[in-house]
Amino acid sequence: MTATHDPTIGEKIIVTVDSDLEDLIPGFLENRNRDIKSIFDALTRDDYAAIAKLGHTMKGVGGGYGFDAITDTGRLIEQAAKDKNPQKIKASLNELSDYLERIEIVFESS
Amino acid sequence: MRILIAEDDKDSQKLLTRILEKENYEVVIADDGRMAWEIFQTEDFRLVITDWIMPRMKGLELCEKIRTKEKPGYVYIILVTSKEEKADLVRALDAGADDYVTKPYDRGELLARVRAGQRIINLEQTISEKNRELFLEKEKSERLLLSIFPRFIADRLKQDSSPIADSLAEASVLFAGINDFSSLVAQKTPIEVVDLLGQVFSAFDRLAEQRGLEKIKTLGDIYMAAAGVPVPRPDHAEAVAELAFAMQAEMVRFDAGLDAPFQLRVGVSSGPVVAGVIGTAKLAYDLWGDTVSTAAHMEATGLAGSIQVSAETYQRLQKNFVFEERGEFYVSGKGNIRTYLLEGRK
Repeated sequence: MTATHDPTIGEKIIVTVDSDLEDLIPGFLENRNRDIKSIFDALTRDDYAAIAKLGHTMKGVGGGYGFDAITDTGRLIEQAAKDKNPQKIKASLNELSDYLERIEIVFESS
Repeated sequence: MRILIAEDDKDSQKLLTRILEKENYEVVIADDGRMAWEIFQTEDFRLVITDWIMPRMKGLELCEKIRTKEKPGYVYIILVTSKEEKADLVRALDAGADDYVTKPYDRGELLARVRAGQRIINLEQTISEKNRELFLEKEKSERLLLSIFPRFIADRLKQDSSPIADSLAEASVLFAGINDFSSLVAQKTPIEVVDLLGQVFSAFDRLAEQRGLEKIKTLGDIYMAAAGVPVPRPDHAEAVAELAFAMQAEMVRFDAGLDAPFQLRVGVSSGPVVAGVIGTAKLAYDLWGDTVSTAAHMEATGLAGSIQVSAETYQRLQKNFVFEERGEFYVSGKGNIRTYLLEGRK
């Protein structure tokens, strides 16, 4: 599984995912969008423990599905939550949101 | 193989299930450590994959609980974690985990570690099976040993293989011979003769065992048993008398399929004996002494269908049993000895 992260805004990001996981991907991505919303909500409450937990989960699960970028973002969010740094959290969420908008998944047999 | 997965994140649950089921593993999911523990106690799992941080019970605690649970068969535990510090890994292994993988996990690495676990489990199952086979063989050997020696003697031989010779002050010895056996079986083939003797002696073995007597040996058509050996008993003479009655009754019932039925000559004597195991090959438990030779003589000079006892046995039984005095016989080396026929109980 590989990810090509093109930093140019608007351009598609090709992510290659194991075809065995094809039917799980929509639910997985929906949960990541839900995570973004949950983290924004937690920020309004200054609930950094909840944010750290969500970041931790994202970090642990992203790469397993083929989305290393989601693992990286999760790591950043978890650390930023531990540092109680809302700006970094928001920046990571915006980056993640953009990423999820731009990804184009290619399924390949492993 | 069935694998129990303890993982609270739904996406991780689905991923693990997909990876493992594709390799034909049967997967059972628990949403947290507590649920995993409850499932583990009621079902058979040999491999557990558990996350570290979970609600209700953490992975470390689940590991510790699994290790303390007494269940047949080894359980291989893989901890899945994003923790990477050495101290955490040491804690995981000390808690009972056999291996760990870090998140996000690599599919190939995870499957390789599961296969490694499966090898350990297969090895443990092989060892268990071999141990079971060994145990059954040991039991078989034990049964064989006990068919040759009294348990008391077998236990002593296991501890120390040097000769055993115990002097016992009081015992009773019985010899029983089938009257005119050679003539009766002259028309039978050797196999038929052995089969007939086998049936008779098997019946005698059963009678002796029921009464707590020791069968000592057989010699041709002669059967030898004793009471009061290897463990003394005060009623040894009574026990042998009862066996003699039972043996005679058995012979009356026994259908040898011959022109004439089998008749038994039984001889009994009582007194001191030496009992033990001697030699280094073809070991056997045997008795020696004057009491033994007298009992043998009682049988050899006995009457078909009767129980002939020595004076020593008569003295021990006269209070409760009925006898007919038979008379005196000359025995080389002993002179005249008085004998009695045991008729019944008073």
